[in-house]
Amino acid sequence: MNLQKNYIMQISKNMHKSMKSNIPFSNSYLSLADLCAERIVFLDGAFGTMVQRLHLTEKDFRDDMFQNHPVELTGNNDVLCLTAPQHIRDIHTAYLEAGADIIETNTFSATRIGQAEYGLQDRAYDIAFAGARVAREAVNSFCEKNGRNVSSCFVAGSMGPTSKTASMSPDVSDPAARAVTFSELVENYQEQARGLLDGGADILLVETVFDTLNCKAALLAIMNECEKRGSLFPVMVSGTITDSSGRLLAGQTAKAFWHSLSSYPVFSIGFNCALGAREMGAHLRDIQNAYVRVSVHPNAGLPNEFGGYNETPEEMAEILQEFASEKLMNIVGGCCGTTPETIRAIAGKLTGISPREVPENKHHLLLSGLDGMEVSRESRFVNIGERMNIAGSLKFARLIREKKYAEAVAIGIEQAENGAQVIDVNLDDGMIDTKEEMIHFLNLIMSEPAIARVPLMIDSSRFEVLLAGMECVQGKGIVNSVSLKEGESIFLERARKVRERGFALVCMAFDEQGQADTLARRIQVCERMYRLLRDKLDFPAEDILFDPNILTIGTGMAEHANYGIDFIETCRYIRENLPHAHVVGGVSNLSFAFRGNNAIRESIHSCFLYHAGKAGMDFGIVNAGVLPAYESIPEEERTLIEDLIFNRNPNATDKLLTYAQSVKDRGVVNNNNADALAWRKELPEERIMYAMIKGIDRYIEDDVRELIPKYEKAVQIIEGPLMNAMNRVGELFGEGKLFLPQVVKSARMMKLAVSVLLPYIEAEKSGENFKAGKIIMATVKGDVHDIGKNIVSVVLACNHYEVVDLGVMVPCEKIVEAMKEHKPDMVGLSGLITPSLDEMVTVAKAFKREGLKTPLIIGGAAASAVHTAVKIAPESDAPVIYASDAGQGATLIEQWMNPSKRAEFVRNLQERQEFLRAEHAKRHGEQVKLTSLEEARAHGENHFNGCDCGCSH
Amino acid sequence: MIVAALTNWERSPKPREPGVHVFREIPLESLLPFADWNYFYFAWKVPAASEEALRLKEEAEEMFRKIVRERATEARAVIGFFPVQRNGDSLKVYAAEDSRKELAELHFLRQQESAAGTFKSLADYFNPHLEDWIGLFAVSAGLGIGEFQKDLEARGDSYGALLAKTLTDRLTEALSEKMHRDVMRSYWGYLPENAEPFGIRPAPGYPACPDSSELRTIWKLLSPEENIGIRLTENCMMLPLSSTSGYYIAHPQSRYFSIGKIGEDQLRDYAARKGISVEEVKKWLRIF
Repeated sequence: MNLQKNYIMQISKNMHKSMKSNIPFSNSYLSLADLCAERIVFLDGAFGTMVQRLHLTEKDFRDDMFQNHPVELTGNNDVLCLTAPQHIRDIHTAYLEAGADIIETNTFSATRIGQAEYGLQDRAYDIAFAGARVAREAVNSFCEKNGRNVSSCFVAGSMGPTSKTASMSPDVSDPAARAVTFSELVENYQEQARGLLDGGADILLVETVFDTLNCKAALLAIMNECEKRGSLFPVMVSGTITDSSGRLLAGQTAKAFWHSLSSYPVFSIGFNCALGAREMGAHLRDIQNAYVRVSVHPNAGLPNEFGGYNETPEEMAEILQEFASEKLMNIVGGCCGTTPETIRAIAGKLTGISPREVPENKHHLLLSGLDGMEVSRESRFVNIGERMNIAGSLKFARLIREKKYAEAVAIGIEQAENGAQVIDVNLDDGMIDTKEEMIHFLNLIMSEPAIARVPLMIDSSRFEVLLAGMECVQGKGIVNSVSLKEGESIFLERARKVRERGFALVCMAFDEQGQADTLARRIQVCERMYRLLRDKLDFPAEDILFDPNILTIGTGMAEHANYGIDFIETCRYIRENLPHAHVVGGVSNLSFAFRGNNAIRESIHSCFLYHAGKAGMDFGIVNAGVLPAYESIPEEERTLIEDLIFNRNPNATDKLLTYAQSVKDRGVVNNNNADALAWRKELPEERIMYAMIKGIDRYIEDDVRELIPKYEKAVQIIEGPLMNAMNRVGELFGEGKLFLPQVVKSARMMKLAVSVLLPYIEAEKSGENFKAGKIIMATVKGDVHDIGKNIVSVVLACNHYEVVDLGVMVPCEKIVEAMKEHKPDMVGLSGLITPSLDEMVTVAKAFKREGLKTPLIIGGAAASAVHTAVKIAPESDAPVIYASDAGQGATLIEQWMNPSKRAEFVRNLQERQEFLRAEHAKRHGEQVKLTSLEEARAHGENHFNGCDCGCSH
Repeated sequence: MIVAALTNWERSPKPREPGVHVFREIPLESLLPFADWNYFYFAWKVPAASEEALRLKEEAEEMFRKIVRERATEARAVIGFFPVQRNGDSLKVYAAEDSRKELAELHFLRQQESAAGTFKSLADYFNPHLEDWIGLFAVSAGLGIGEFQKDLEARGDSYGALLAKTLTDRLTEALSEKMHRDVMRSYWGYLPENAEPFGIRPAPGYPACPDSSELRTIWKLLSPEENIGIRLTENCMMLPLSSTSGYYIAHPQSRYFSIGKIGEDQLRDYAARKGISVEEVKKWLRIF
């Protein structure tokens, strides 16, 4: 037993780095760890459900203690710990008898915030204390009665989420507003934790977490309390996935939730409430890699129409048994609607099933915004978006100073959408109150899911700003940065605060003597920081990122010549000698000497990242999306750049400068990439073109509005700039330079744009029909494939055509009928399977018979230009046009619809089809030499050994 | 041992579980390991190694979770194993429980153009003189996805609808692969222990057997409509669209190939074997 305990203690130590290595585990921690290693541990069930069964009256809630209290107390279940402790003890005892190993105190709302609703805020501590005390008594007498060791059952101090959330705004008109601050929550929770531990709780259970930021406040409070007591109590954290969205109320996924908590010394994480056991399975699987224990206490199914729960104990136990056999959990119990019978059923079914094996910590850096992100050694390079940086973006600086927040936020959204995996926020500026701005701005962007999705890097040279920033963010982000500039003790104190708030940390290679700028100094400073963090704080190694300073090369000064190679060698050293640590760098500084020549700068960055990346740099503050690929840089250029980076040639700078002059004028697609939003400075027509091609829909409505006064009629905006943009999208798609997702997105933007213009067009009522034309679309009889047809329909509708979509499996007669009803300008026929080709011929024949001269557009995988020319066109009096894809279809239709282009279009079409027919006839005439069937059969393949006589030899 | 078994293939062994088997509510998660995303990128015309592909995959994964959560689709499969007797380029199919009772005939084509000097036909993978075995299958991971798609469409999310559709196609292909693996190892069980998977699953309408009207015979033998809800239209299209159906061929030397061009002589022969007109054969083979 002792051996096992030691073993578990070893594991526990590896698993939980206690915040300060001198806090020993509490006894309850060790016995609970023991028990969890041995088997699945049972938690109790619902408390509220059991209290309801007692049918207590206001008198019971008040007892003598609160006889004259001015506020009604019915419903304040927690106060019963003071006023009706016997009832509470009975419920606890019932659960213990049912087989619960852990009972939860009746203190879910025993905080100042929670009790304020009943005017009992000043009794919050007392309630928490009494709640733990009465549970302790229940455990003690149960153990005594049953001859069990009192350390075999546990009291978990229940800590609910409070009624206020730190991550979400209570005011729809002000997304930055918050009903409660992080530090208020810490105070509330610390008082509750103190009461619970004073009263005899063994465990603290932070449960029903719907906002991870509240949870982090609770964890900080608990850690403060543990530190004061000199004993690390086991902390269980249980989140609540609100509904089928699969997220906590404040937006995090199960995995993001785990990542947020991953660097705290928690005993277990899991889920409770809101869902029944069945619905919990997927979320439990999502956190299977968590290297702590996993708990679950679901509701008794989903609530019925009366708000009650129907699932029977047996049903629930059976589901949980499945999960247990799948090894999904270590600790299991019940939440709303469950009773001692439930726990008895669960304990009955699950006893003997071995618990989930807690996986080893792989030391991957686990980050999160609303979604989780995992960075391992195998991960691709992580791009950190740098546009929300006052020092880095003039525009952003101006927007913040002028308090134009919406536009400032838009920059972040854009960045996130363009692939930044982490977003850097830096508001350092002498002109503003940086700390207040940071709080306000982070609260603002946390309400914007497009940004809040990714992890944040909070960036400031002032630690108080970093501290304030961390307390606004529910995800696990990165703090940038701390260093040894002001000595070891300040470095350690700051790092400890970062650790307590669950963030990863950038350590800049800077010490008391200044910036480390040689290989030896960089290594020395980074190594010193690493050792301090690991040895003094037990800071998780994977949460450490080193910034060994990327400095400018090519300055012409000999002492700068080794900056590039030294950085790269530092990366290598860190990766090889400081286990699990990461390397980050801001790249733009490197090529500062070549400013004015973006093409060369981007090439330098690309080469540098290529080599630094190979050496181990895995995070970069770069516009990586616009860098040329390393392989695509001409070899001559690459060699010159590498000479410079590796300091292989004393004249490298001059040579590269000469070379740079010669390529200065070469067209670089992303010359403007220094500012991702530079395109916004163009004319609105240009912006629309750009946005449509890139699929950025944020500004389209504004841009279109801006054009309205410029054009005589609104419809001209559609015919002009919008159509031009759409045509360009179609062309690029046709050339394979744009992809289908982008085309569909542009089509959606067109819809948005048209919806802005529609009222104006209606108002202009010029009498003319602004529809570009009317098209009937159909997938022919016998065929239901309609992806292509739908794309064409969307593209056309957005190009302002009226599309009459007849759907799929449309018989010929129905098409003819629709012709008479709608009188379209063109008809699109689509089909994927071969028999559809015949059906298209049938339609063409029917048109001829009916005297219809409307052109047919033929599309779909079955169709081909040759088949159209050979088989369909000759059957029709009208043009029959083959379109190979949606983009081409739209372009062809446009040509027919344009009166000035039509004649030429038809002439070209006929010529082309004539040519195809001639080619086809020629090939047909040639008749490829085929072997006769008889001979082919005689030379079939013999896959059966031996002779062919059936004797099986 | 294995090598010997695979080189001296006399005929496919009798399946462990002959006859028709139906699978419903196959967990969608179990299909993911078999999904080949490259085809997904291909369907979207996105290069597989691009950033766009990464984004697309993320969106697809989100859609997958939504589909699973909302139970928007169900994966089902029907498979069957039957004794056959080769008859030229056709196979006579007999009842699994009574190999004298002829149920149907499957017809294959043969190459007439070849650089190799031999002319392939799927029929060559069956012993011409002994009773042999064939497997048939029809699977779909798209049962119900139509409604879900319409729903998205109605909410103006045509992108999401396309995504759901293309994703379901991938899942169906994954299901097809998974079933094939299970067939090799368990239901047919022809794979010797420790052997690498072998055998093919060509589908009517594809290059080795381009005549999709052969699906009708599979429908006769497996009743996929009654068993799992996949309908065959008059033009031999499967509904839901995300369905696949074909043959399991166990022969270790079996390979996918393309029939290519065939001559008038074979057209006539094939039409006669099937009992339909040459014109109709041309329609199915898209010869014009």
